[in-house]
Amino acid sequence: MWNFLSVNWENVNKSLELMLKGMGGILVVMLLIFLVILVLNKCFNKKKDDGDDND
Amino acid sequence: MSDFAFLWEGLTAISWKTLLMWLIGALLIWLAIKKDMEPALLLPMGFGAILVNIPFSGVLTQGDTTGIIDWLFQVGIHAAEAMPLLLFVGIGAMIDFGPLLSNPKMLLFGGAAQFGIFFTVLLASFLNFDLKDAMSIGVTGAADGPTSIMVSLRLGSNYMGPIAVAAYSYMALVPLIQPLAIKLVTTKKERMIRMPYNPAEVSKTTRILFPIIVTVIAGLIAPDSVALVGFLMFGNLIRECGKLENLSQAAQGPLANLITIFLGITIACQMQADKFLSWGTLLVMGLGLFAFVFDTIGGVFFAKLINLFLPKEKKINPMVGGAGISAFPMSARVIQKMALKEDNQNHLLMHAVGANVAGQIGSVVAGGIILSLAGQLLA
Repeated sequence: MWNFLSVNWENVNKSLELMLKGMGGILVVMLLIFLVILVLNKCFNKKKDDGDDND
Repeated sequence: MSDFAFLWEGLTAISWKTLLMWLIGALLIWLAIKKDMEPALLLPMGFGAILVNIPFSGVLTQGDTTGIIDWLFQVGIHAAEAMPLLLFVGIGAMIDFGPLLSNPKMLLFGGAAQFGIFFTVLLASFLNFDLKDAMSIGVTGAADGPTSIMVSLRLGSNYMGPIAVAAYSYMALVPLIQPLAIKLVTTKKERMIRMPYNPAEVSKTTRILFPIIVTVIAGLIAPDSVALVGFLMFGNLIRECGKLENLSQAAQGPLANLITIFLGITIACQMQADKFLSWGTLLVMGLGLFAFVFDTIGGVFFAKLINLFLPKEKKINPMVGGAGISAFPMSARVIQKMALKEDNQNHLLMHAVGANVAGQIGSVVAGGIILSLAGQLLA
């Protein structure tokens, strides 16, 4: 039976650490991919404007 | 008479646990056929649950004789997670990243909507689950079957069976669960926010470079995610390169179908009564639901947060944030349906698709990051 006193606080602390680092890590990856898409769109859409379409 | 005892050995070995597992198997088959809930997965899993719980079942290893399902599990899943990964090649070939590439800010929702995973890990730890089990249970929230299976397997979780059942069940329950969760945390006014869709044209070069660059970025930050991200993006590269139409069709169709057939029945290896029937299983199913709900809510709240800084005419409909989960394309369709229900001229589908494919990337990256961090935290 679960009770408050039996909680393994070391694991809870590690979970908090995981949450912090995990969400931070995901947002960093997503931001990087976001920037990559912006750069890719800027580079290759520009070519299209110049009449040098890749499609 | 005793010469014929072998005829009823199986019959006498039936216990209440056997019967309960057969009932669970029958329920999964019923849900697949009658309710059309992820039939491609729930049906093989349901049949497999019956198969592996027949006393002295020949599909399981008995003495020196290797059973086919045990073999499939060892070779197809346990040895190198081959089945979930190969399925990702098919999924990657099915995904059109176009809506995301033309509206990249949707990527942020694919990240934010992974909040439920980590929140559930915390809750599961609080409920005294081992950290490796807590991490595996949390990943269920992304409603991403292959990633859930791979993480639970890699971490050696004791709950792989319930986790796989939960991940695929909640994927099938997206149309029921997401509207409830979203309505709980949004007002009618918010759900009626319109978002004009003016997609930028996406060049073929961008479509080809995207899967390669994403693999490199994800791999450098979370090397453990390389298998998941890499296979997903490999499938997408086959689709987008324009030279491998036959392979793309093979990956989307025959490959994905074949793996799906055997993945479902192989997962049933973990549904043997002695492993499956425990209070822990019920808790895992409950926590999986919690994770899924909070993934949705995490995406919705992130959209609300962004709206605080946006001018009135550029506000984001918070429901789109809820589509940042992995269940593709069900989640995007649910958001579209909800938007049209509130305002029959509000078309959010393409925005939701963008967030939804971002969720596919996000859940895979989340799985990889958890595996990477597990190395430090479980040491």
